[in-house]
Amino acid sequence: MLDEIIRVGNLRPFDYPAAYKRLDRFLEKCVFIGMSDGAQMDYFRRHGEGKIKNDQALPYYKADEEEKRSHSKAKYAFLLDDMCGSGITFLRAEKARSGKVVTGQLPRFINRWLRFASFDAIYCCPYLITERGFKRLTKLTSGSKRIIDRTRRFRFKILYGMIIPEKYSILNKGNELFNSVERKRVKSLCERYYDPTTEDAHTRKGGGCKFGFGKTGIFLVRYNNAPNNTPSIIWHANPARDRTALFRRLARHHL
Amino acid sequence: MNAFDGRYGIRRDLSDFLNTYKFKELQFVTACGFENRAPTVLKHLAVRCPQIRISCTIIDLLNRNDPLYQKARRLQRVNISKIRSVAQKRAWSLRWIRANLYSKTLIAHQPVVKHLMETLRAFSGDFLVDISCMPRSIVFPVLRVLWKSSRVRNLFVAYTEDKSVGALETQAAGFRTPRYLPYFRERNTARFCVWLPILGGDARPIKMIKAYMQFNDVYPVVGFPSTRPIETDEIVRLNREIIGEHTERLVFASMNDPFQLSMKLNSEIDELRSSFGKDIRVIISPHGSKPQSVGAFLTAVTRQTAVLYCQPLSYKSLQGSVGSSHLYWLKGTPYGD
Repeated sequence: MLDEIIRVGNLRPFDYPAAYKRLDRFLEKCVFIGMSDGAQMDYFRRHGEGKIKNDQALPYYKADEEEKRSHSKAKYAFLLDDMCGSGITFLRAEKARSGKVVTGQLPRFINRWLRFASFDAIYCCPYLITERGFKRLTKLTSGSKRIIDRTRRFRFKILYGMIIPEKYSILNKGNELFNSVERKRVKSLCERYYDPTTEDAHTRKGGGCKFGFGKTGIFLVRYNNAPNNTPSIIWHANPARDRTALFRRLARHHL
Repeated sequence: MNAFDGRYGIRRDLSDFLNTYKFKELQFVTACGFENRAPTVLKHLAVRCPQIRISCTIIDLLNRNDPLYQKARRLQRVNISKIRSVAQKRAWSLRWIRANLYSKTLIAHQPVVKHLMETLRAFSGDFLVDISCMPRSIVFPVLRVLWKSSRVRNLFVAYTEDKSVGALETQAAGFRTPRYLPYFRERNTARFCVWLPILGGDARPIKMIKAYMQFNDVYPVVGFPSTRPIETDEIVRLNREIIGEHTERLVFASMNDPFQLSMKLNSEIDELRSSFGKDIRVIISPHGSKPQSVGAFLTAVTRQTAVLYCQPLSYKSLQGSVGSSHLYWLKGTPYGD
């Protein structure tokens, strides 16, 4: 944030004392928005106490018009979420009758909010992101192949808490966690115990969950849920077939 | 003195930093053993800052008393010739200091500290300490001397990751009995004593300290987040004994950001002192990653804690591989004029 203040305020490089003096004023121009309940905005609010006012932290981006209007002077939007796996939920291009349509959380946020506020910058802030998701989103949001904000009304940046290396995926031949034999055995387990009833119209958009949504292939379980980017043998339960899950997933949002 | 005070800290990729920051003159301190990453930061300086005048202090870590000396020496020679060649090309001055790491007492820092004191009498300006291959028994005293000196304008720490092992160092071949690090000895006589062991890839030193001393309260520090997330799992697995005994007191603190770790430890210590009294004894044991040790140093100097550490007896000569290099700005102009 201090680097952003230095950039916006045209301060000398490394003039952090001046940037820090401007931090409170800068924060007044910020709005922090949860993209799902995984963002834990209550926790965020508690830790931002004294710096970030309560009404600057919104639990969910699908807010009503009055709420959005009250943030019309905000210049910086921080979109908080717990996890970004493939990045498909956040941003994707889909085939439609009228051609390609850009959709996902980010376009929905832009459609809902940019009528009320004109942001200089939007920051995507997942607590966890996969390297693959990071690369994909970077490609789709900046450079010549960008599919969002082609007129460049705002800057977009991903600020993450922790990145999960691509080499943790069981689909990556250079996997760092398993040797090649183990990796193949894990892959075959995913195939052997894959249950097609896992899938619905939403998961199919990400290529199914056999190796995790978006073919992420990373075995990750968080304390509050198992992401669908984790291969389904870990989290899919099917009582009809008498199948229980090691870490049963609670599906809490759709694409 | 303007230095990191827990509000914000500056951590950068080393190349990015060197592209932006303009040194006038620099004192560079590093250690040279058998690891491949030993000359990396110096090479970065040679590429990015060829015009500036740099005085290099190189700590020779090897000693004939080391049982693994022969193999380590063979590997070290390669690093020595690389360092000499870089310095020669740029006409940088090179001063070698021999650290006696195998004397059975923690005196390894003395020759380096003595040299730094001499340097500080003649020089005032920027210091960059490369801790990549430096044992903590040298890192802590060196940083303490430079942190306290008003003649150090900017104090930078550089660190190069070992790509093959990440932050979990497991090269130590045995450990000495626990000792307080020089300048970080216990001076407090209060009876109530809290221990903050920073856990790493080797549980042996933590077990040794636990057996050596009695603590009233223990708050094990687990590294999270980290560059390689699996390292947190490894730390928990390897240190399950101490973690199992204190699950309700676990502290999660960054594995690769010393400032985040220091802020976390500072707030824990402040809370403990407000609950149990200002006089309680707080002891930190930096057996986690090298960046965590920098954070532990910052907490130790700003919260006046003791540092209890088990120095490795020797190291298995694993050369490792060279990962990315980082820079931490501990003291100087970005924290106020």
